[in-house]
Amino acid sequence: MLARVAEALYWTARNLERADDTGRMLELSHAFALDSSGDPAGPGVWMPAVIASGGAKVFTQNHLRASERSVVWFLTFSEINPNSMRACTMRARANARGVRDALPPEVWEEINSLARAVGQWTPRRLAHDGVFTLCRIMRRALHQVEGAMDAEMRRDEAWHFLRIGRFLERASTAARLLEARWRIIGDRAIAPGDRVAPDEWHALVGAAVAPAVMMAAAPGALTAEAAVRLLVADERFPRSVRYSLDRVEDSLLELEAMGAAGRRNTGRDLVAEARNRVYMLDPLPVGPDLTRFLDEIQERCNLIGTHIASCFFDYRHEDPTGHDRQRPQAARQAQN
Amino acid sequence: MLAPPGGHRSAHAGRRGPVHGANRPSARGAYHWRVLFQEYDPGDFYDEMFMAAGHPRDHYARLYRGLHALAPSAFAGKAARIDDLYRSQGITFDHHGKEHTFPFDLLPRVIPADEWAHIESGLCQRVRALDMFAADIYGERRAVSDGVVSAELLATASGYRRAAHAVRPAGDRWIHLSGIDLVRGDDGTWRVLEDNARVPSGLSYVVQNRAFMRRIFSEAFERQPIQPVEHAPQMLRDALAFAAPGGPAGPHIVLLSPGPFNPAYYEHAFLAQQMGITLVEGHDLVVRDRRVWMATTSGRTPVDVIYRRIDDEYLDPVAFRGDSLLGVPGLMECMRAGTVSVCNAVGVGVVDDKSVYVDVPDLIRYYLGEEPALAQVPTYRPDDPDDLAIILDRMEHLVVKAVDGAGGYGILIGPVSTARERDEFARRVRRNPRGYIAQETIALSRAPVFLDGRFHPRHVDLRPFVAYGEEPRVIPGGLTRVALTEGSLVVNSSQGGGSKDTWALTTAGAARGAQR
Repeated sequence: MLARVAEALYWTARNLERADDTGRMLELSHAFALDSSGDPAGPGVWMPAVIASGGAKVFTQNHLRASERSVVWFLTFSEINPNSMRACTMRARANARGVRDALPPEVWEEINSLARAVGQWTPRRLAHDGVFTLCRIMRRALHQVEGAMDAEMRRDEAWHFLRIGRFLERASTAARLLEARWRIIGDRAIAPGDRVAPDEWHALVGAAVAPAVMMAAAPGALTAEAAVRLLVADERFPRSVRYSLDRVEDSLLELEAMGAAGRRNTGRDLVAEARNRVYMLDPLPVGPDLTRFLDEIQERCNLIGTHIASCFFDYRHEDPTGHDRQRPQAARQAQN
Repeated sequence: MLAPPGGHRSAHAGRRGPVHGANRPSARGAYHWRVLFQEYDPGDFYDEMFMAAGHPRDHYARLYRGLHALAPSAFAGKAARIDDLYRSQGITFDHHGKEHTFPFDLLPRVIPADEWAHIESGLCQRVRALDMFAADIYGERRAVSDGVVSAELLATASGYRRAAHAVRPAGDRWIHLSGIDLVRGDDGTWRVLEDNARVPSGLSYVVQNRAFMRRIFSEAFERQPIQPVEHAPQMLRDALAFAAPGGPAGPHIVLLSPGPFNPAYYEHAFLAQQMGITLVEGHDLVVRDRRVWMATTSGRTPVDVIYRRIDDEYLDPVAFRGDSLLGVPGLMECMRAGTVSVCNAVGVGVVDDKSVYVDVPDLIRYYLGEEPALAQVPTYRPDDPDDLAIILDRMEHLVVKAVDGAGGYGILIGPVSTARERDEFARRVRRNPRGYIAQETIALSRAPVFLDGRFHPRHVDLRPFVAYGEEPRVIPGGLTRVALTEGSLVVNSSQGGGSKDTWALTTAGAARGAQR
């Protein structure tokens, strides 16, 4: 498959995943602000969402305080935030449009419809319908996109590059989200085995994790440890770091089997290393250790991303005619 | 002007018009019919659907009756759903930086079987001759030495490429896909308006229009012997495979597109996907060892055939425009070495030059020894002194076109021009006689188009496509383009044109359809 096409597919999936992850973070902050006994406008409620999106610097340069209004706008439609849900969606569409022949029509159609829907939102509508509606539209559209991919696509290179993009983004964001959520709970030291209050539990794992999922994964109690294990190390929970890295590894293995990488190193060893770090979590890191650990995961994900790019996309051809030709970059984000 | 057909019809109530016959479905149906075609006036033009107000031509009769069952609001609802389909599938073209849908009219254009058979054979004949002409120009130039065309005309044709002399395309095929624009005037005769032999666009709309019609307006297809168009991409693929340097068995074919910002990008993606070939941009390709390769995730893969959707002068910055970022440096070298085929062949633009058009009937006689089956539009060349006198004298009756103009630009339509515009064109024509041609104005035929809740007559033309591999094959129907503005003769999509699904009927199918 064309290197350019592979790259565009990869970034299509990453941008879609990122838009959805931002939506999840917003929902979580929103739920916490409603549940919380503390000050709903306090910096501990909304700022973590901004930090998790990687836009803290841009945000503080442009906004005085992290209120519901400023943060919701910043993360959804703001023009100054390169990772707003709108920006991610539009980038995903731009990438997908450039390679629409490599996608089943259903998939392209869903991405296009999503971008059209998001493009039509106005500040008024956001105030009127609320951020939940937007997040729900986003999530549904993404389910449709992923459903169409799973149902329609041959498991060829295109499918695997989409999958790698989706799960690498998810692994990295899962770590970032957990870090931000931990901040929401605040500085209160939580030891393994400590029970957490239901509102804090919400803040940690989010409403998206059905209680049934939780009970199956960690029978017993709502403990901080159970939450971390679920989000980081669970082998069967599709939003955990571990699960996501496993999928990246699978796909790289498949690509190797298809001969997509030639004899080059696809970086599967890097993925395996990262996965081994989240495998056991014994002992469970707590406090600053947890933060450090989550930082390390993100750093490893960045490394994997860089390696994949140089292995598959950065295929520079020497040009015998001496013509200076540059390949336009796929519309990606500035790495945060 | 004729009397409004509404009043005309009521005067003959009970005697004429199918709505009043025994098969009249309901009083309600009659009402609908009257609203949809109320005040529809075929006027003095040739109308594709009606012989006279309320009297459809035979090949439209079934469709016309079918419309009885449809309320105008239902028809409008279908029209809106089609537009939404185009939008949600992102079937748009870029114009001045905005994405537009190509307006689509729900009422198909129907071509009866006998007329289509005539068009089909005429097109095959024409494309055969044009293809031989291209081979001749860049080869022995017999047509020049035998005096059929002038050497000077060729040398000054903007599509002429000196570099193409060294290249012999595989199978000596030059025009793999052409779109020949046809019109008919008030006498009902089909005429060739111009040939498009470089990179004709619109084929994707032929396929997509039909697919959407089937989805939204399936009842219209009942018992109609319509020739299918779904296999059009496959026909094109066969023609491209024929061009492969190593023979048509399993060549690696790519479609070279300028990228997503090109107005026709949707078409490039659609055709590539339908043909199962790779859509590439210039920077995906590289030349090494006199061979074209594409950069894949696993390294370089050789390319055998390039279906290019960019013009000659952008193909290779080494051979042509050095500032082109769209092309592939060294591509011409590979063509010369015969390792890759480019479709349509480089230099083929010389055959669809608007001045060469005048000579095409002679070329058909010369190469094929046959009389041309399709008529042309009477055309004058200002570089001939007699013609020039006629042009200057009759400019208000003529259409003056720049020979290198496209998309309906650089054109003067005499009957609707101002004296000032005519003076301006007269000046331009005198200064650069080789740069223009003039044609008799054809009162383009009209067809009903659904606008603002009912049908209005609008001018149409037809662009059928011919895929030419081993033999020329015409894709049934083609793209009917509609001038949506009242009275306008310009059907180009960049200037507010729309399209219709086009049904080429077949007699064999008629028998089959009647049995059901």
